Amino acid sequence: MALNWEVVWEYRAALADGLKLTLDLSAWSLVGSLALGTLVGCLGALPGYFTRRLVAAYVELLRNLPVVVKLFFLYFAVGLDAMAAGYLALITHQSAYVADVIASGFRSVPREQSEAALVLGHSRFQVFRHVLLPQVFRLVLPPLTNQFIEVVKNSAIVMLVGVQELTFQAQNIESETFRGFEAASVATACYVLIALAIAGGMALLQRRLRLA
Amino acid sequence: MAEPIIAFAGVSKWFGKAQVLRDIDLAVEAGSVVVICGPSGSGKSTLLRCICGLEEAQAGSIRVMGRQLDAKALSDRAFRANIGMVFQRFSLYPHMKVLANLTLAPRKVRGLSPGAAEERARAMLARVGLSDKLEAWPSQLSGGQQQRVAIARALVMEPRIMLFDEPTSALDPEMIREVLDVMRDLARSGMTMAVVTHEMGFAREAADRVVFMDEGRIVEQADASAFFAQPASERARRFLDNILQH
Ligand SMILES: Nc1ncnc2c1ncn2[C@@H]1O[C@H](COP(=O)(O)OP(=O)(O)OP(=O)(O)O)[C@@H](O)[C@H]1O
Ligand SMILES: [Mg+2]
Repeated sequence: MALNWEVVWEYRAALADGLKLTLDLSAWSLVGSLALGTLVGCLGALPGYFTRRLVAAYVELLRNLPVVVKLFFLYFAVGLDAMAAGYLALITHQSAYVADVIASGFRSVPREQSEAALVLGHSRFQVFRHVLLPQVFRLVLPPLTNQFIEVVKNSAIVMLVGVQELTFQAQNIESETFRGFEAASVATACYVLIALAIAGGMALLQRRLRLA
Repeated sequence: MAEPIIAFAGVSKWFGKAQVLRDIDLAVEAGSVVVICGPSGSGKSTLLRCICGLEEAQAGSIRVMGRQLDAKALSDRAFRANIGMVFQRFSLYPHMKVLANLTLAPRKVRGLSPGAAEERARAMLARVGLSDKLEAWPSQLSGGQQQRVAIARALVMEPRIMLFDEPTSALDPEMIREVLDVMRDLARSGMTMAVVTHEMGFAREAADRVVFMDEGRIVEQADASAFFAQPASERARRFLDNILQH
């Protein structure tokens, strides 16, 4: 079978639209899951049995539900529109993983550091701001890179509720022209490039921080 | 006689159902050095942590520097900063150089300018013999050096009381001496010190009083010379024998 890359060119507008939607979904879901996950993760680092249990329950529950189940629930049961359901499913799903990463980042800072700072007279906020946060931030960058890439990969599931993102467009080309290989190759290349961009950006950030 | 700088009266503390301090009476005179010893789990750390406010007792009264340690005193950060504490290990901030470790509290708690804070930091590093480590990262220091930096970091706040919780028990033998030397100097300078340690050589030399604890109680407290000549209690005697044999 001869390859026919012209098909891809013919469908460039559709593919570009799909890519734009994928980027849009990924970027906002990434920001959203980072914000929500950080918030929940910080709560989990607070002293107090109750908040710790609550955060553990949040993480367990949301991690054990497949992201598709969340999407269908939000779309069919709650009745959100497709994009809103997509954002929310991706954000809540990944926020559980992010929260876990952040909370274990806090746990890995020896307790003596916070205690020493408290005895020196620092407020709890100062301990958080000057002792914990800078260390946790550095610790969580590598695992967060994986989480961000996961968001991009997961974004493809929103095609199941009719959002015409990159994977949807690729499949559409296949069904209209039977040029599945070409279409899938282009989509794959896009996902790989996005993942590389994220990994590269995070590596750059890490290098910057190490020098600082 | 002046009021003791630390005074416990009938202090008890529980963790959940477990009682870890039982009816503690203790008086520490200003400028004196008290060494606290006893078997593992006897409540030594908890006792120290009650003095600096990391733990709160549930019964009895604790007075420090003439002030009742109630919720109001404990939330007074400037007051609490008059008490310094050195832990067994892991207490330096690894993401800051030595200088930043030393200047953070003076700047943020005492409100000193960066210049003034640095001046004090330099002076205290010189005092612990580490003037050349100002720009070092904690990870580049030996265990003994790290402990000396931790001492300097507490001293920068110009505390009136210094607490030490087994400051040498995580160290290799060859580094213990340098830390104890710094502590001995500090004791000679008239600092009030409460030291949990198993270094009986240090206790013999530097301590004015020795407190022996077991199962949350103070079993015995005496002048250091009397204690080392002959502990009054059988338990303290056995404890000393055990330690000295090692
Ligand atoms: N945060 C805590 N929660 C529950 N129990 C605790 C806590 N801290 C200490 N304990 C318990 O209180 C008792 C006294 O502990 P503490 O650390 O004061 O003993 P210690 O004399 O310092 O012992 P060691 O020589 O091992 O350091 C121990 O039985 C310990 O298990
Ligand atoms: Mg202890």
